[in-house]
Amino acid sequence: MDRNIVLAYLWQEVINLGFSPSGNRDQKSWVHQYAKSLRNFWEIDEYSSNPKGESGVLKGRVDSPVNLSFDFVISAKDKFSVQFLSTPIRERGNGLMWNHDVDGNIFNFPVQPFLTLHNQGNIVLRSNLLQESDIEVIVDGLLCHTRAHQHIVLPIDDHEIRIGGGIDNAFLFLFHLRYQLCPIPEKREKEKQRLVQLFLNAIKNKNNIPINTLMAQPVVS
Amino acid sequence: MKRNRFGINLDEGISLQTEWEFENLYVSYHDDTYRKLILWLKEQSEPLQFGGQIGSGKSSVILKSFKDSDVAPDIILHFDQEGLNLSSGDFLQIILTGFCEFALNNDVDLSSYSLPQEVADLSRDDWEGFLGKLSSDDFSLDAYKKKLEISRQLADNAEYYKKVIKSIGDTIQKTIDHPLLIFASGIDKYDTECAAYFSLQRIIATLLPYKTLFEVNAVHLFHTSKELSPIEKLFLPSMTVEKTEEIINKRMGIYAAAVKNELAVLSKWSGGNPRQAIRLLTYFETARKNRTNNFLDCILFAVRSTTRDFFAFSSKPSFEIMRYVNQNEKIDATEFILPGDKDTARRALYGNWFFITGTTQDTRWPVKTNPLVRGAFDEKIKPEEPEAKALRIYAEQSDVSSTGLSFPRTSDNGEKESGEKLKDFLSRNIEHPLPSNLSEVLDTMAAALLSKNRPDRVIIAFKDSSVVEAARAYLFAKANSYEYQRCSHALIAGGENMSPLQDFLEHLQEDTDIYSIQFGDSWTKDQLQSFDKLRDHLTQYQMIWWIEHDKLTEYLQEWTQLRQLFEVFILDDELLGSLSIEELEGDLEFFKDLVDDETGPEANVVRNLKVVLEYLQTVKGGENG
Repeated sequence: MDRNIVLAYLWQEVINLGFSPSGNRDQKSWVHQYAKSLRNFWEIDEYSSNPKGESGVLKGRVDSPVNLSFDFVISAKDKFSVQFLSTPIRERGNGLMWNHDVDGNIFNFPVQPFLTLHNQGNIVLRSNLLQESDIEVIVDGLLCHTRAHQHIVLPIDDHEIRIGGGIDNAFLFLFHLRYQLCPIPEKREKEKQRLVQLFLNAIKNKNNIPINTLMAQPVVS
Repeated sequence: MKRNRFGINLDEGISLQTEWEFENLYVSYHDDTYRKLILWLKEQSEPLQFGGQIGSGKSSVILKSFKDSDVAPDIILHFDQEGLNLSSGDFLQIILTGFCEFALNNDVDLSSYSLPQEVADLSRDDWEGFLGKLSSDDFSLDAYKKKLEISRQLADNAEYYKKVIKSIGDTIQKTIDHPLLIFASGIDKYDTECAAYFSLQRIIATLLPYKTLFEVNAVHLFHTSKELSPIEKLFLPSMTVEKTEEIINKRMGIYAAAVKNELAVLSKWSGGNPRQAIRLLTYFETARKNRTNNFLDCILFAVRSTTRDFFAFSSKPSFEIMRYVNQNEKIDATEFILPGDKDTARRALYGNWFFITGTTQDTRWPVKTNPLVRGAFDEKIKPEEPEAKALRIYAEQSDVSSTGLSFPRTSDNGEKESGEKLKDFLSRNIEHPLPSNLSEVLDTMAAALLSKNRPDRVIIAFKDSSVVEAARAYLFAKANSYEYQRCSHALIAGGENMSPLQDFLEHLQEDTDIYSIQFGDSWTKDQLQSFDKLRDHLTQYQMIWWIEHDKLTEYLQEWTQLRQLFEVFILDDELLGSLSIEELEGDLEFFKDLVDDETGPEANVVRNLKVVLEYLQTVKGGENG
């Protein structure tokens, strides 16, 4: 089978496993545990303030000591906004850097319908076609080094921070920020390895990934 | 304490302990003093007084010297942790416990002594039982009474027991192959003016025949009793600001580069005192969370809050001595021993109103006013003072102004601004610190309150006792946002015929995560002073202390040591001002969905939020009605 077709199914499967909490309760739990995980992952002094959920809309604010903060508002998995701020706010100018807006009502290439139509998912996911290197490519493309990205000039190793401009899944976008805004190279490397193993094992064993497992910390020796 | 390997490591300036901490957070300074300490540990056998000012890093230096020299003390005596009423009996008890423990662990023959029988009504050779009585952790009333009884008996026969201690010490000395090394820690917590220090001096003189390292405050080096004065002295002056900058850079880990310029300014306000530097950094980090702040605001917040913690409501030294220090930057050692001097030089030195910045061959010591309190004494802040200059240059370079504060300008800039507002800003924090609303208190406490990894302590002064329960419930709710934390509250009363220290220590026996303590009734001066010595004992506990605002001055004036490890807040009366009913309802709705188990953190959040909500609804209802 064409490698790209295999990767396409794996791509969607990784998104389904990690970044598609369904229902209000799961989504609340996802953002709650996400906010909780940042403190240890970034090795900072304190937790982010707890996200809020009102009338099905999830809101949160995250401050990062790389002088970049963001607020998120999620109405649906594919309808959300993340507002980036330079912090602390400079005297002149309001500190807003840019807004990452996603509106699922606007047409985009319908990936999932095409894959469903092609009907190769079961073959890919259960066969020995599954390779660790494929999952690594997926994790890179989704989280660690997305195809389209913006670099941010920061005093700490500016080139390593790549904000994916094309991500249209709210939870995937937040999770990639967890990775990207961590300036610790050792942590990033181990996290990538952890995620590859996590998704590989889940797909191989047909397991779900509990939210707290997704949000766990990599072990840096 | 759990440390971040690459990231940020903040605390309230507690001493470093572990190998990792010394490798990654320690900054070496005053190498000559350090070399002398190592040399003393390795080669000498006479006692030594090692002194420095509060927060100067004495304990970390001592612990590091033990590691580096590979010489560990045989006996460690904690004079700040194990006493119940700071009497000579307590001090004798501490020494006896240390000596007997060492003797038993090292098979030293104690058969010629009958202390178990004499002191504790045990059989003559029941040394284990004897030690159990002396150092019991049992907080039952019986155990407490027994300890008091032993303490009284030792005090009543102090001369006899000093001889016993000497004899046991000599017996130990004969059976080991090196000079008996004793580390007498915690003497630095005793103000030279307090009665307990006089008793303590007489008792610790029993340690003079041995190689004893006395950990003292700088003020003790100048003001010692006849017995202690011949002992060799080694002084640890304050650091250079460059060294404190290095310290706070290390504390920020990989994130230091993002705030490099700001750390340089903060270090100028540390006055070369590492604990002050770390406290400034901690508050700076807190202020960064407020998105309406620019960096200059953050620096000013750090200065204001650190001043409040260390100096608000404290008893000030005289204007004359501070002006003298400011103008001359030298002080003669005789200033510290003049009779009737207690309100001036000694108080100023003990309370860190100025720092000794180096050593001297004659009697004139180099000193510098603590930048945080300069405004309280200077008629005008001088433009060339390093901390004021650093702020001004930073503001100019960053193109920011802040809170209507004017900075002193040099005359060649042609300027109108005199720095008066900066002076007011600095002095105001000592006399009338600004109150904080509950959200601001939470913002500052959040790093520690929300996590078990970092136990910090805060004092919250309240004016209206009716808000305390709701405020407490709010903080307890927030404490459970991410981790399950048990919170326990107790009211501890002081006054004649009360034993608040005993009650307090008993409360600490509870198996809980956050200890909330409300100070009730009128405490005596002695009771307050006894708490001041507990400073290092409390570093392992997450605590919130509630004190009536009217009593705060009285308490803080006796807590020069204790306040070093506390953040101090004055709580606004009005909870509605900072908490909105809508926001609480939103939080409640969010957490209700997450409750799986009635004993989990989310259930704890929900329970406590309901208390707060009920309070606010009642108050609001009252207002409307």
